[in-house]
Amino acid sequence: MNEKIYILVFVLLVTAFFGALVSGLNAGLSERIELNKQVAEERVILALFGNEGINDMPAQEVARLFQEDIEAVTTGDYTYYRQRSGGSVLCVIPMDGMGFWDRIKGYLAYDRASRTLKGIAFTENKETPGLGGRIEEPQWRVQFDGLTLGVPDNEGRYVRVVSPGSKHPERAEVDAVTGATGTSQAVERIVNASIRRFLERTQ
Amino acid sequence: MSAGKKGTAKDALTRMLWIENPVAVQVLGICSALAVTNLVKNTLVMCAGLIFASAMSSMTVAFLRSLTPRRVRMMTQILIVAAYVIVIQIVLSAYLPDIAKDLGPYVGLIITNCIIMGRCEAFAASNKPGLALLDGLGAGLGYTLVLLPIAMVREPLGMGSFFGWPIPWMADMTRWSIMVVAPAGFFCLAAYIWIARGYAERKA
Repeated sequence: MNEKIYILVFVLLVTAFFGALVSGLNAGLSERIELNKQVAEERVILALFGNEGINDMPAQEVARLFQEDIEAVTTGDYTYYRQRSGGSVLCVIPMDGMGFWDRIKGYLAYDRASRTLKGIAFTENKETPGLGGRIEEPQWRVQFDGLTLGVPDNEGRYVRVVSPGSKHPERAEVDAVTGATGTSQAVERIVNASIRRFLERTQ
Repeated sequence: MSAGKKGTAKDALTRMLWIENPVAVQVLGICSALAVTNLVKNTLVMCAGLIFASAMSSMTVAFLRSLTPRRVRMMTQILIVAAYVIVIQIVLSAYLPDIAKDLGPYVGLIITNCIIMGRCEAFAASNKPGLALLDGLGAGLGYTLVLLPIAMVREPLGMGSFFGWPIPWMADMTRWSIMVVAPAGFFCLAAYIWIARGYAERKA
């Protein structure tokens, strides 16, 4: 009996001690962690609006610039971003969907006047590094810049991801990532869903 | 394996670097050896995390060894290991958010690394805290000595870069896609063990 009580007391004490250690540290740093996440997101949005060198800017500067220049436009549960200084033509619109392994999130820059994409960036993906993860590389993402959106095809696609090397310069087409067909198809689906949603919500 | 045997401080620190290397000889911690070794930077952070978690957990387990009831010792060890790993996770995402994002779930998986539990149970549970700290450090360093060379082979061949920087004369080379995915970890690890053991045998 005595031994059982000792075990119980020991387990409770050890758990309380390490639990307190971890939650204390978390409470102390959670504000900083939240801020990091928020600034990372703001950096992506600012970069899509054409702010160069944003990645070398200190976090506080980024937060200030975002506060000053970016306006979030919310209708119902939908939010997209506009630049206070740049009028209402260029919009940064959210993307969210299931990738090959896990959720992919990011933003698209879209010019309403010319119906062209001005850039794409991902804020969250857990695709295989070096394969699907290469969607994050600038050399791949640059393909989206300047794509003009026409009438969607019969599957509702404005932008098509085609097998590497076969994209047509006149159409809104992007080369897939070699060795990552699943991720490429997922990105195609996510991008088109995001464009569709934006057009529906802002009509 | 002289796991439970009491030894000198120097022995505790150095024996797992080569003779009893946790990965190459004891074949522990293989899962993370396959997962993180496609990028040198991630490997380095993962190894640093493991060295810290292994050393601190071993020391704490050794410190509590005479107080810990035998029946709940495993639970206590896991609790200690988990606490230190969560500390690493929180500190990384507060101060090195980029690396924390790159490593994703791997840091959390240090908890399940068999090397740490193995050292706690085999050595720390029956030795003094100082010795256990050195033993944990040695195990972590031994792990690093295997993972880093593997990452140094996999990253250039798979991505054409080293530590994230593109290697100029490899820019036009066809990338070995297999080096990026986990199976390449098997091949590289096996090759490492083969070469290391062959060398050790020839020397003996």
